[in-house]
Amino acid sequence: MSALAVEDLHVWFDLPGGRELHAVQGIDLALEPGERLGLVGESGCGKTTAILAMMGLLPPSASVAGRVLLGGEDILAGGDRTMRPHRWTDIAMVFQGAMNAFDPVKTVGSQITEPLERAGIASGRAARARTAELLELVGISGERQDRYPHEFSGGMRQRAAIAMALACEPKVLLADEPTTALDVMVQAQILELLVRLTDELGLAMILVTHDLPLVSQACTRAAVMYAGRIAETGTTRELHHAPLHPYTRMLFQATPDLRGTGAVSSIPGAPPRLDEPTVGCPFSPRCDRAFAPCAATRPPLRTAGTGHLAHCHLEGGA
Amino acid sequence: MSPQELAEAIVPATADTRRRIPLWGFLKGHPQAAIGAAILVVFALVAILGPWIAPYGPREQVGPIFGTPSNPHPLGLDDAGIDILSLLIYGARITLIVGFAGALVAVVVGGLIGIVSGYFGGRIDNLLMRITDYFLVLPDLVLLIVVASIWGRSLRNIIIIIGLVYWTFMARLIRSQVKVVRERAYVKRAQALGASHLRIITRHVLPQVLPLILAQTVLMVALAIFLETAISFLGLGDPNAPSWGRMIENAFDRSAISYGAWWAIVPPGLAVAVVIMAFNMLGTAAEDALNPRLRVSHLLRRHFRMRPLPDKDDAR
Amino acid sequence: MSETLLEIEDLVVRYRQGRKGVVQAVDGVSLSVAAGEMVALVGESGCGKTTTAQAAMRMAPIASGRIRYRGADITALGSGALRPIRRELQLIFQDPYESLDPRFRVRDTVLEPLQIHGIADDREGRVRRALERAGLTPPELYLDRYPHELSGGQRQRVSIAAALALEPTMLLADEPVSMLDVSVRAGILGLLDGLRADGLGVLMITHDLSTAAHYADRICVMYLGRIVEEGPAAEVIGDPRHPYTKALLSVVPRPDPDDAGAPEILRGETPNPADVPTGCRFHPRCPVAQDRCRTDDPALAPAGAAGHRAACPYA
Repeated sequence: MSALAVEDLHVWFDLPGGRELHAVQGIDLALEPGERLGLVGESGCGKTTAILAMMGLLPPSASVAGRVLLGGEDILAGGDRTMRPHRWTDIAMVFQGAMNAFDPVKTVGSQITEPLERAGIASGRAARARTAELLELVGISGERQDRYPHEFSGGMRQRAAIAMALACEPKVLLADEPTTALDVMVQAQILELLVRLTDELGLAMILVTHDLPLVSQACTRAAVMYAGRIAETGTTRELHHAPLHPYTRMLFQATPDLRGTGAVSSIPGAPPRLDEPTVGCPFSPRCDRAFAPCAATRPPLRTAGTGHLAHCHLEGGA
Repeated sequence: MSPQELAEAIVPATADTRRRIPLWGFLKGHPQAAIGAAILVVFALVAILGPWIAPYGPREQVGPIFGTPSNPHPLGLDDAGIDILSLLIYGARITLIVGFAGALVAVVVGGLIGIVSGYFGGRIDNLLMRITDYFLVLPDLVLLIVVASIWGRSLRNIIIIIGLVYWTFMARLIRSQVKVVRERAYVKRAQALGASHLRIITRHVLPQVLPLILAQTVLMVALAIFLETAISFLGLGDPNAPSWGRMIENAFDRSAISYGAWWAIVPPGLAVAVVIMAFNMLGTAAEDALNPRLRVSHLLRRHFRMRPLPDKDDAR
Repeated sequence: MSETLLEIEDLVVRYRQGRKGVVQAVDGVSLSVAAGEMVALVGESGCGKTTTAQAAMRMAPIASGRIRYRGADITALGSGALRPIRRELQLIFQDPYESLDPRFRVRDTVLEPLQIHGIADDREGRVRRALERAGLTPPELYLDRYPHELSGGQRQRVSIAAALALEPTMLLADEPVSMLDVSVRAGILGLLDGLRADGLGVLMITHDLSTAAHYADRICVMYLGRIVEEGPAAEVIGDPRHPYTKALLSVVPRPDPDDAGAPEILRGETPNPADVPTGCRFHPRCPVAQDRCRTDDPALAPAGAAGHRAACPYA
């Protein structure tokens, strides 16, 4: 059974004047235990909103539809009521800019102990010992739990944030741009840590990022999001070597490769507004292979082998 | 490069209109601001039209000492037999003028020092902030008693005292804001271009902190009115200007309480309270609208709604 | 050989940090940029790359060293004498959301440099040409827009247009694309590359080696206030000599999942610039450090092909 399955997830936000922004427009995802899935896309494509919905961390202006299955149980069905028992204990999240996730006036350790005690997992000395263990797990000496956040570097704070997310031994970890503000070398360290943790703990992880090379190196599968939908999903190899959707290919072409010699080209135009319904394929105005049906009808689902899917009018790949 | 590659679609104007707050939309979105503004409009009209709408003159004896509220004098008479309603109407003018003028002095002095201090930083900042600290630690009441007894009791002096007491607050606030704006890349760019300090301050820094200054000015007026009332109550007010504070002081002085003449104290007291509250409602709402950081993070609240899935044809 | 525009010689920049002491943000950096050349200054945050560029603009306190522009020493010029230099040398900022005044229309942003430098003739024409050169065509579409009506890429183009309004000879671009979406980065970098081809000198500060590899003519790698390796881009990327450069290159994520390479992840983090290690400043993290590295502070020395230098005796 999948560790996490998302079925037809939608998120809308109320806008002033009674309008709505359809931020996530029906996405499907599935993760096996120990699997790392990259969720890639440009800013505003709905990737962060999607994982916030999976955590049930949305503001009152949001409304949600669809299913979020954790070990077969739909935890979204009853809204916050059914979400709450699972949040942090079964499904946890590392936030974007997690370096700022810590309260500056409390020690790092006490902030990791807190969820442990709240969940009734451990308290007192046992909680301290568990906190030390968690910090060691992410590569920080357990003795440093009495330090304050400002005594940690950015990379260490990010590690501690990961330790905090892992405190209640969740089965699924959602990581939102966990390395964005970090330097290349620290980024490599954090990525190595996340890979090791998922392997050792059998943790299923969604890595949300705008950075395709990061996903290529850290994940086995990826989903490319565009305008609130998943344009293409497949193994990172399939996406790189045989993309079905032109957006995937154009994103790779827009990414300079260290030793690559090919031309790097940007994608013209900008993503569509999500507060108005889109007709046809939302990517068609920017697509280099758009043809008549793209602007008029919604693209059909194409498959190439198991698990490699794309919503595109083109037959036979991009 | 091809024109097609360059032509990114213009992003339509989004909800990012926070920077420009249309007055009407602001009042609509903040009912407390609307109520505050409405109250102030009424008081301002009363102050402006005072001489025309007041039934009697402010020094005109029209009946017995501490005459009770009755038909021609709905709020009664004071210790000199003067109509309280008329006094209240004339007092509105004095009180509001002192409030606004005092706040203006504080804002201009404090704003200027805050901008210079925050923008230039370094030694100038140190010096100006040290001076500010000295003023800050001076006890307000002692300062104003000393100043009033040296310079004498006049409206002008009260306005200066209010300015003296409150400019430090403004200076610190503006300084901290300017320090933030100064680090903005567009200020750096102007510096890199060799723009003069005056140009950078007037073109980039001031417009950015102006809304905050305005919001604070509104709050400052409330404080100034409060201080004026306190000064007058202590008997340091202008004897020739019947402000609300003077009315209260006068009533106490002439033993209105032992006469049981509550009407000599309650109306001016209530007027002060209502006006201060109105300024506060407007000012805090403006501050809230201008400073999104004061708002609570949405991640802490999770009361999203569930809804049924849309029709397949519609959504995909 | 094209004209050398910017020359930085032995630059030292110190900042006072609290009461404790002095941070040597830049410690003896020399580099030059010629017309029609793009030089990338690469390194991790805190390595001094941005401070170096700011010092070149005379916006950081220079403790020692020389800055020359087109042969003229500008190290100690007063603000008046600097004005003509400020016309020729233009900065492009990292964050297009921060670098445009939200209250200024595009026209006013591009006009501002002309006003500051008192250029009165043909302002409208200059603004239009700058916008066109920055790829914002037709200019009419953009002139009356406010920044919040533009996409990130367009804002960065406005920022570049403002830099081009004075027809400068050189651009200093500080992380010009790091805040932008991947899909539009190539457009901005291509624009800078085009300006370079037109004869402008470009000093690009970046933490992204892939970008540097793709667009720069030469690369200077900085670590803790020093340039530890420099040379033609293809040499530095293809045949790195300094262990730090090697490690940095090995951890750059590659788009091809089959091309993982062997990441050599350095442990720990860059030391605080207030507390620089003795000897070679990289030795505590260096995988090949020897005893002498603890004491000897290596200078840049030729390594590999012509123009390629590294500050490591084992390069």
